[in-house]
Amino acid sequence: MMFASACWLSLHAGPPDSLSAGPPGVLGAAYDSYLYKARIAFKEHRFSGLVLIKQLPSDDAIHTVFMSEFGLTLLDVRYRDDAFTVVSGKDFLQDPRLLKVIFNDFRLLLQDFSLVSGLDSEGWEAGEKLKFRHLGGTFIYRFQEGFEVEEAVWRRGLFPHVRMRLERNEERRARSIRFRHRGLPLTVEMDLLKYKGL
Amino acid sequence: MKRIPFLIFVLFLAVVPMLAQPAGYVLVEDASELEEAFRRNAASVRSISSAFVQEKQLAYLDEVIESKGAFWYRNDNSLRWAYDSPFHYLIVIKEGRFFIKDQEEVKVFDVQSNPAFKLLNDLIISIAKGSVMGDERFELKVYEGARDYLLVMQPLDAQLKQFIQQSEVYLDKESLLALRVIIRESDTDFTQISFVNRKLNEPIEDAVFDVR
Repeated sequence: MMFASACWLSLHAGPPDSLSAGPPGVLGAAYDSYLYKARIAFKEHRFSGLVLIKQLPSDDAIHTVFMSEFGLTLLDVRYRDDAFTVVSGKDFLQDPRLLKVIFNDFRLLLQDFSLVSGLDSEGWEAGEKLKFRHLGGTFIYRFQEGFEVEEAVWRRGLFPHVRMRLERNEERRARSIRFRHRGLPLTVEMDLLKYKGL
Repeated sequence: MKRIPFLIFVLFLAVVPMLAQPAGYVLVEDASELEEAFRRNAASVRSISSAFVQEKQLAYLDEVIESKGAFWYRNDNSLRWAYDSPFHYLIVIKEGRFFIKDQEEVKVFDVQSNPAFKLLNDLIISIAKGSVMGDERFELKVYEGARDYLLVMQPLDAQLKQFIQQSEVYLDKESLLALRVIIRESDTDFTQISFVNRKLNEPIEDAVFDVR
């Protein structure tokens, strides 16, 4: 019985249920870091700062670090094993509701598609839309050839909760990223300052 | 054999205080004379203008983020602190108000009525002038090197402690002005601001402090 179970697992685990050669992340597969200038508008309040998105192979993670223009680190979030965790952060940014918004936004941007169970590997090649259910939500990515994502939506239920729009520069890198939220007067705008390749 | 780890521990404890003293610098036991010299010098500063290079070091991510800009200070507490690269961001302090310009948007804060901006205002101006000594919000140690003084400042103020673990200000021995400032948030996360092409006591037009 155990042997049969093991055989079944070896046949059914891995590539057929997951995407072994799926699209790279929205930011591409091979980069060291992206540095963005960020502007956040919440109701009548305006904030600005820098956002560093850094791949850290030694940690098998992607770090997103929020900083002030003066260089002060405000929040460092790690995406690893398909989960977001706070590495460090100032007290005023540790509100669980705020963190949930940040995690949802950056999941749209950083989602590792190889960790999405049951993703159809033909889907992203053939069409211009990739749609899948993951972690209780629906993700939709609209893209051009080469998985150049122009818009992504995360929703629970019928209406989009988070909408992300991207514009690309001549090198096809994400030059501007905009997040909008349904039912939340919050917009996040990020403009590329610096890209570092591998 | 069991004593070896204990011995290593004792040796480590003995080494730690030595490491605490920055290499190439000697602790100034009685800094009162220097403090007076700093105070006199700060009082004689009428204006400073300088370019600066800011390097944010995230050692654990093996990342350095460099930004550049320039600042102008005038002793009527006017200051213009402008980032030019890789982004544009401007702070102007004048007539008790704190202006922030980001793209085309300008925000204005009253320094006196806003404790956070009062703190930032005092800190920026005292660092720019090199008059950080005597600031009771910090525990201060002064070290002397061959060409400069090093002021190691540890915040006592609870609000400051949230943001700064330690600040280090390197002052030129001759001019007693800040050469560079290091703001440490943790052992692996700090920002260094180096001042270059500094001009002292040259006239600065009012227009420099316009928010444009």
